[in-house]
Amino acid sequence: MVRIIVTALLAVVIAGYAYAQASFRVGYLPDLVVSTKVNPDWTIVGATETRIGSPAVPWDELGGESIAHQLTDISVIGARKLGLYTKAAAGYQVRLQGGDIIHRTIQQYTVVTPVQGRRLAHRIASDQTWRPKQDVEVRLRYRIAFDRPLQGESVDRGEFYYKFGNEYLGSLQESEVDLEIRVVPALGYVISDIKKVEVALDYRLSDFTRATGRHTLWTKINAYLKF
Amino acid sequence: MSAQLKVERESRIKRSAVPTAAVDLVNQLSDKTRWRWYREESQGGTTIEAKGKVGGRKCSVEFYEDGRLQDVEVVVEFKTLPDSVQAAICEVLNAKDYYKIKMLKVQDQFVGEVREIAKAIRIEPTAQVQHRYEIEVEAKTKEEGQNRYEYTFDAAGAVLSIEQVVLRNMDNLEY
Repeated sequence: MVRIIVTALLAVVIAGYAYAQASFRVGYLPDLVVSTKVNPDWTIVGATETRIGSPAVPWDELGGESIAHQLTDISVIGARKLGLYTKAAAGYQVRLQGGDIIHRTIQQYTVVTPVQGRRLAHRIASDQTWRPKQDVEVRLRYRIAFDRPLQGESVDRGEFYYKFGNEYLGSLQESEVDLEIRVVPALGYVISDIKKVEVALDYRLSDFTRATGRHTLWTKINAYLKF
Repeated sequence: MSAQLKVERESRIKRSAVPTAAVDLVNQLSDKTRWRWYREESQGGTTIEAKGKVGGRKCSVEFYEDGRLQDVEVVVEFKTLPDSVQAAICEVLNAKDYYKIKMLKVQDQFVGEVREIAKAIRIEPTAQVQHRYEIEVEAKTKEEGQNRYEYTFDAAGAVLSIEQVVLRNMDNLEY
């Protein structure tokens, strides 16, 4: 399964590089996710993610532009446990970008299946984004991800784990359709039962429908806290 | 009887790290099995576990840290249990206020001498072997939501213990 995904992604990446005037962007994405159980079925999740990066430029100009704060996302999500390994969630995100305030509503359904020490997760999500003076953008997303311990049979306290995620995002805005593909390998560490940190590379290939493609590489630092 | 929380931490270990007594015991059980070895830490202390197949059935053998045998568990189907035991177990589970329940795993659990346990696995339990059943269920209650429970029953189907399995946090795969 993983081999098929990696091969498909490599083909997409190579095709992406072949675009005549592709643009490139690099930066950092610090991310904090805090969750708390309000009752046996419901969890409230708060998340904030900041983008600090370069503007999108042609490959030979990369490095010449300064890296600066681009935006901050703040989200609140309510998640309901449907089964031992399934959850449905809905939430609201506010994006602070330049002087603008952008609103986004989010819906998602996740299934996490334990498979011999690994955990395989499927996430189907949709979101709607309202930007000033623009039509609403609707996205449909599918992500497959797994984590596996680097030692032992399960990811336990004081242990490192490897995580790999691959996401496909289709978007529709003003009759324009686009696709974005994300590949996110990560190294995580379980500090305690309620604290985890991850360092990840988040590669994104977007602007498929235009003559140029956009390649973005974020260095992510994720922290997960549960109370 | 209320459920105790069960937090388990299992890590793979090499055969060379296992007490010789434990290796000898699993070989008496089946010397053709390719045994995989684990260290298991829980509130009850540290144990060593060997997992493999005996006579085509999934089997786990649990030892104390010094290599003394604790018990042997063999995966079975619920419908193969004696009718009276099935009825007694169903009565226990039905008496709980679960409104959704699914049986995940049923195991025979044997305590005793290794030769008698080997006979119990291949033929049937003798009076020299203490026979129990361990049953893992997924169940939902109004107060605690959906959870995984491990029940231990005696040979007649009377409940001996209930443990609620604490699942690992999945937030890094969900958000």
